[in-house]
Amino acid sequence: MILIAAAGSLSFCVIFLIFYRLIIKPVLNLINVCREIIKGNLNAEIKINSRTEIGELFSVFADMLEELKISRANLEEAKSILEIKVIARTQELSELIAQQEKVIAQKTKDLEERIKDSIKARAKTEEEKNTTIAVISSLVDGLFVFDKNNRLSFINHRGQSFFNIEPQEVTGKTLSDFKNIKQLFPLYNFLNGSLEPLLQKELELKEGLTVSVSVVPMSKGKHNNSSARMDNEKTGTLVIVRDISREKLVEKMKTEFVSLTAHQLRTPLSAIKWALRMLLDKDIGKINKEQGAFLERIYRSNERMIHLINDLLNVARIEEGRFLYQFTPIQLEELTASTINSFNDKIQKKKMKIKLIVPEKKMPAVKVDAEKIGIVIFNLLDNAIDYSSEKSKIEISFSSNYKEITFAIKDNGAGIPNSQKKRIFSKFFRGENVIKMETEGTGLGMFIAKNIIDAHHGKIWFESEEKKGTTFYFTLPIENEDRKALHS
Amino acid sequence: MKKILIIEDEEVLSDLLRKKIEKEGYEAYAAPDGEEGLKIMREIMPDLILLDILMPKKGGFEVMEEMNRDETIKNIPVIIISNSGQPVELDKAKALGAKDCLVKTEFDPQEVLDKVKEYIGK
Repeated sequence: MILIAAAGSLSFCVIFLIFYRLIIKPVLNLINVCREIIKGNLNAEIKINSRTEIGELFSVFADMLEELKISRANLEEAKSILEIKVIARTQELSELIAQQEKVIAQKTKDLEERIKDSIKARAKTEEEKNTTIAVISSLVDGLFVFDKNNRLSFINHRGQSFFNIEPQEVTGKTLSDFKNIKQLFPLYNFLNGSLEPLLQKELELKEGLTVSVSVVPMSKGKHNNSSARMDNEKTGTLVIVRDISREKLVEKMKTEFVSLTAHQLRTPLSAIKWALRMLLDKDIGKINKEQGAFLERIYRSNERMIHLINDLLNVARIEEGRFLYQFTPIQLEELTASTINSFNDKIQKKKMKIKLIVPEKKMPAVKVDAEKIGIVIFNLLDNAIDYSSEKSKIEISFSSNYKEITFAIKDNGAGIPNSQKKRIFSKFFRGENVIKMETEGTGLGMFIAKNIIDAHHGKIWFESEEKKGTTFYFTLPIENEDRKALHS
Repeated sequence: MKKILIIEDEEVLSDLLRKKIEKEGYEAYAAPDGEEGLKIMREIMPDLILLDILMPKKGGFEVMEEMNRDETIKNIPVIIISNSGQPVELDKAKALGAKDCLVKTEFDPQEVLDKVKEYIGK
């Protein structure tokens, strides 16, 4: 029995040992391998020592594990490639970023510089502006600056004080608005409400305050090219008001001085004239021929002096603005004829001929200050005779149309040098070529003539060639009552 | 003999005129200013007066104004002998009743005398 039992237990042991070796051990090994795999260790070894189904299973498992290992390795490889790529890319990116940062830093620096420059420039501009404003403000001339829309953008101190206004009263206003500002109405009125260019026109603001007003357009661009100037954009208008009271006063004093002196000189000159005349007329007693000849020369010198004084007085009157007097209708040809008569002696002496060509059809009358127009004709004739050679001819002719009469006096005399033509009508001008031949002229005749013709709204001009002769012309408008009535 | 009164402050001119006029057979009187002129005028009652404008004490215009107010001397003809010959002056003289206005620098004593003859004869 025991034997049986022992045999039984021995066989059980044997069976168990076989079972253990074949099944339990490999399973335990598998469990361990699985645990290792779970932990991430794919290198755990699977011991295969059986050719049983379990062994088969283990072999498949090992193959699977091997596959897993390979794919894991592939994955690892892919991962490491990716990592390398990422690193490279990151490197690239950070390089790019670094570069960009550099650029940005440079740009920021530039920008800072620019801002600094701009601030500097702005400060400079501001300073310049302030300087300009300071200059403009302290100018002795009054200044009104209008923008391109003709609104007043600036007025300086002097401008304010001329018109007794505050800048806030007028800034932003247009010239037409000035109409309603009491202090500025005279300016508005003077400019006829327009900002058309104007050069130094006189305006008496009040007793003792005379100003000259200029209106100057302002434009962008170069100013040295006059043709381009037309295209320039207008940026505004400048109205400049200058105090000329002192100049006026000095001018007035000068004119008064000349006037007074000339008057004072006339009395002794009259006395000399009268005394000489009476001596020459033998009212005081007999004189011999030689004495007579001398007295005659003194008399002529005195006459010249009287002529000069009269010219000076006329100039003084022109400058005092009280020259023209009474306008009466006259026939110009008649006035000319009577003026020619006063030259009879002189003409005879030089054996000259004066031809007066009067149109057949009666000319219209002209309304003029006859005495003054007489002076013009006198001066023109006087010059024509003085500057012509003996026995030469002078021709006076007229032409007329519905608006004006033209007077022409042609001589064959010395002529006017080209270089001096511009100055013919200026005060105290005498032609270089005639100073030598004729010492009598005052240099005032043509100045007076031009002033007289200008005051009559006529024109005076000449054509001349040296050594060939000169033709002087002047026009006088015909006062046509009917036309005037139509206009008014 | 016709009497002519010269009212003129410039002695030379006055003397010269006087000489010329006397030579022609007139009786000539002279006054150096307007005041004296009016006085002599009322005394001698001249046939014609030669009158200057700018004078001390009383000027030519004042003399004429006073003459116009005084019936006794109102109608004595006056010829102005003036220095300036400005139109304004000449017109004023004419308005006050002057027969003529002669500018001294433009006329000489003979021409003045001719004017005298023209107005009052010999």
